[in-house]
Amino acid sequence: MPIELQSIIKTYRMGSENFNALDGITATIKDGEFIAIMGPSGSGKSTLANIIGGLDTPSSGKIFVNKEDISRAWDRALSHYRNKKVGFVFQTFNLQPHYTALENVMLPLIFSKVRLRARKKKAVACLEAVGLGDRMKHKPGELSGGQRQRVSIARSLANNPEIIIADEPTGNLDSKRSTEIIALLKKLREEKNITLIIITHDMNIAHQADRVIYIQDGKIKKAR
Amino acid sequence: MALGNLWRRKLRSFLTIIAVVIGAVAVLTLTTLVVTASSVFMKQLDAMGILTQVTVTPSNVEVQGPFGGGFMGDGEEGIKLDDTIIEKIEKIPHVVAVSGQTYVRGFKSVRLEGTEKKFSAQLQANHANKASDGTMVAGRNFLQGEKNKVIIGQWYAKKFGFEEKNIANIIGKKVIFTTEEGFSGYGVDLAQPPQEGNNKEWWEEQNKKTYDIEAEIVGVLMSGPGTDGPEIYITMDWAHDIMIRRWWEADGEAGKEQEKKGIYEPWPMIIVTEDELDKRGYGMLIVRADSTQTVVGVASDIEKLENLGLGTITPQDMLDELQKIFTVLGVILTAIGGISLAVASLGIINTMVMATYERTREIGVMRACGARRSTIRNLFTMEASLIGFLGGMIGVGILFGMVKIGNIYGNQFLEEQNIPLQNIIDPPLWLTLGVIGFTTIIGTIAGLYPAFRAARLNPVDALRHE
Repeated sequence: MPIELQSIIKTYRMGSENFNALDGITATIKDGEFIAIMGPSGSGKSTLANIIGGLDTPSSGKIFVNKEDISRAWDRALSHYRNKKVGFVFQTFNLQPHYTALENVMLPLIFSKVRLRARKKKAVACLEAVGLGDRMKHKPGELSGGQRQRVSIARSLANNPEIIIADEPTGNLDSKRSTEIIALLKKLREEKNITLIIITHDMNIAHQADRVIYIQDGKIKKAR
Repeated sequence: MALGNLWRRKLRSFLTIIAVVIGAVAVLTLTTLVVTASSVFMKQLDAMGILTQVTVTPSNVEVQGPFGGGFMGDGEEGIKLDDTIIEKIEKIPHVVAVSGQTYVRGFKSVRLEGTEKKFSAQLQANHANKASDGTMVAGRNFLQGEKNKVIIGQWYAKKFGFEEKNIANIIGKKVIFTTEEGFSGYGVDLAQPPQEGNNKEWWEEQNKKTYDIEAEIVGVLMSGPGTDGPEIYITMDWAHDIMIRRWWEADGEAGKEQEKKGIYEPWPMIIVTEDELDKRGYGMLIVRADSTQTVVGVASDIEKLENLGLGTITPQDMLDELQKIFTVLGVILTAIGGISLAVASLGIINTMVMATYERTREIGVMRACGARRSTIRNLFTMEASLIGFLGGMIGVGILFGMVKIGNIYGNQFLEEQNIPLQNIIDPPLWLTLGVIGFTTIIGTIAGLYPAFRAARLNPVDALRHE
C-alpha cells in the first residue's frame, strides 16, 4: 500500500509560541518497503509515524494512503484505517497488563467485530507466527521483554495489516533480543508483503532497511 | 468487556456498587413500606366490607375528617332516620341491605362475669343484616332479633384478658352491664310507689337505683378504622328495649300541681312509656352496596332520594383522603431514599473519572488498535451503567430477602392478632423493575462525563501517558 506524504506540517502550541514538530515533510513510501526513520530525540520521528499510522492528523499537508487522503479523515474512518490496515509496535510494548497474551492479541479483533471463536483462532495463529504458541495464557508480567514485544507484534498482525509501524521496538531490549525481534519483523514483512516502518536509533537496523529517512527539526535531512 | 473491566477492579467496583445497593435498598424498602401499609389498609377495609359501605347521615351538612366521627348521636339537624327511610333506600338499585346505627344509652359500665374490673360501656346498635355484618376474629355475627347478646371489639377482649391465641375462649362468656342510675328500660319493673306518707326518700332511692343486666358474648369484631376503640355491639331490637323510658307520672291535675311543688305525697299515678328510638330515629344508616364499583352511585342516589336532604359518606371520600396521605408519605420517603442514590451516583462518577486517569494508556492502546471515540465512550458508559444495573439488581435481591424474612415474622404477628391476612409485604413489580431501571439510568448518566472525557483523549498523548 503506497503512502504519499505531501508537505506535512504538524504544529503544536507551546505556551504562547507555535512549534512545528513536522515542518514540510514530503516523501513517498512504496508498497512493501522497509523504511527506517532516524533522527535525534524530538526531531519529529514519532509524530511522523503517528500521522502515517492515523493516530494523529497533520496541521496542514496531505497524506495519501493507497491514493486516499487521510489527513482530514473523520475519527470513524481513521479508526477503521488503524484497525484494518495498520499495526503498531511500541517501545514500551503497551500490552494490557491484566489480559493474557491471547487476550491482548484479540483486542484489535474486538474492534473489527470478529466473533469470539474466530477471534481466538486468529489470535492463536498470530501468536504461533511469532513463536509464542506456548505462552498464550501468560500475562505480560510473566513474560520476558523479548516475549512481550513478540506479543505486541502478534497483536499488530491480528487484522492482517498492510503497514506495521514500530516506534523503537528494540529500545527496551538487549542486543540479542533486538536482533531476534528485527529478524521476526523482517520475516513477517517478507511473508506477508507488509510495509514496515521502524523508528530507531540503531544503525544496525537502519542498515537492514531498504531506505532510511533521516529527520532533524521536523524536516527530512537526507534519505538513503 | 465492560464486565471484565469491572471485575479487574473488584474492590473498587464492589464498593461503588455497594453504594448503589444501599441507595436502591433505601428507596425500595421505604417505598415498599408505604405501598404495603397502603395495601394492607385497603385489604383490611375490603375485608371489613367498608369499601362497599355508605354511611347515611340525617342531613347533608359536611362532616369533616376521614371517618366523619362525632355525629352518631342525636341533636343532629335534619330528617329523622327511621324504618320508612330504610325501606325507601332498600329499593334503590345495587343496595344489598340497610341497617340503622345508633349509640345506646342506659348502660354505664361493663365487666366480665366473674371479674370485678369495670369498664365504661359504649354500646352501638345495628340491625342484624348484611349491611352491618363485620369481620369476626372469633364467634359470629348477630342473628335477627337477638337480645342479651353482644359482640365486642378487640379492645374489650384485650381488656378482659383475651388476646390472640385464646381469643376464641371468650365466646359464650357473659358480661354484666351496670345501668345508669334510675334506669327504667329493658328488664326493669318499676316498683309501685308507696301509697302513704312523705316518700321523698323513696323517690330519691329509686332515682339512684342501678341494675345489673347480663349478656352473652357471641363474637369478637376485628379491629380496623372506626372499630379499634372501646365498642360493644348489640342488635337494634335489644337497643329498642333498652332505650324505652318509663316513669311514674301523676294522674290528674291535682297531682301534677303537687309534683311541681316537689311534694312527695301519695297521689294517683300512672306509668308513662316513651320509645326513645322511635321518637328520635337512628343516629345514622349503614347501606351496603353490591360492589365497590356501584357504591358511589348508590350514595348519590341516596342523596337525591325524594329531596329528603340525606347526607352520605362513602369510602371514596375516605379513600381519597388516605390516598393523599399515602402519596405524600411515599414521595417524602422515596425522596429520602433518593438522596442516598444521588450520593451513590457521585461515587460512580468518582470511580469512572479515576478509571479514565488510570486507564489513559489503555485507552491509547485501544485507540491505536482501531477503537473509535464512540467505542471508548460506549465502553465507559457501559461500565457505569453496569455498576448501576448490578447495584439495582443486588438491591432488589436484598429487598426480596428482607421481604421473605419480614413476611415470616409478619405472618406470625398477623396470626397472633387473628388478622386473616398473609404475606402482606409484597413489593410491586413496577417498583422493582423501576428501581433497577432507575439505578441503571443513574449509572449511565453518572458515566457520561467520564466517558466523554475518556473518548476525548488524544490517542498520542494517551499512549505517552505514564
